[in-house]
Amino acid sequence: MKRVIKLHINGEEFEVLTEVHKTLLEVLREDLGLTGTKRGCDLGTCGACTVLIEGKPFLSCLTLAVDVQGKKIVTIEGLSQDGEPHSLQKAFVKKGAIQCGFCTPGMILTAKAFLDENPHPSEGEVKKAISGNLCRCTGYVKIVEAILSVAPSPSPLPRGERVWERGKGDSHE
Amino acid sequence: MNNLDVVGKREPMLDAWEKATGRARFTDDLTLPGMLYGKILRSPLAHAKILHVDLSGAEKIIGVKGGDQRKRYSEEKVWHCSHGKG
Repeated sequence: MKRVIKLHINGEEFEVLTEVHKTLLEVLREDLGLTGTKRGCDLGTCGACTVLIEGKPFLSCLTLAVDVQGKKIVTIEGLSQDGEPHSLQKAFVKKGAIQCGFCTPGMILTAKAFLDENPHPSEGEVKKAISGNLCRCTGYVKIVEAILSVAPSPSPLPRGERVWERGKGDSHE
Repeated sequence: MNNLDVVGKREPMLDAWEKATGRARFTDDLTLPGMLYGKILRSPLAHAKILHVDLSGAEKIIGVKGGDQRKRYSEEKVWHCSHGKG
């Protein structure tokens, strides 16, 4: 059974004629062409389909589209403001936190929601926050570094700093 | 010769921006006119020799264009596939 549903995505209103049983992930990808949201496991395990609903991270593969009408949804496509990428997107690029890139949208959105709530997290808190987002390239070190670089810890922890690199200049950052 | 702009430095991957902004197109993101979807039917039994696959039921479903069932599976080497173990 099809029905017209209204969705508020990335600051725009959409009216979509779609099946009521469709997940938000399916509507985003198949009906709206917003393929930045990835279908990884389709079981709520990998976090690749993460989107923000009212600022909180949700797994769009486990969310029915009809259930989120009228709510503010943000996907990776909507994270840039006026063509300017979000600071997390810049950090992921700069820090080499992207390999194949499949987990990246979900990872960045999870990190954004987390930093909005906890702007000065410890490394452990960051790791816990992204524990629901799997990276099969296993590039977690760079991802954690990228997130922490956007939110410097209040205490100057020597995290990531290797003793033998001290005083070597900036050739390795 | 000190004109090396890239060598010895950390440069972002060429496609990093596309991936960070969701613009990158992965194979699963592509849609083409008249595109068909395929699905692999796996044997429910490990090490089983596949002698026959009955596709007649599947082929009656609206939208199903057909299945590719190759007889050679039974004659040649049997390939084993298992979930999640590559």
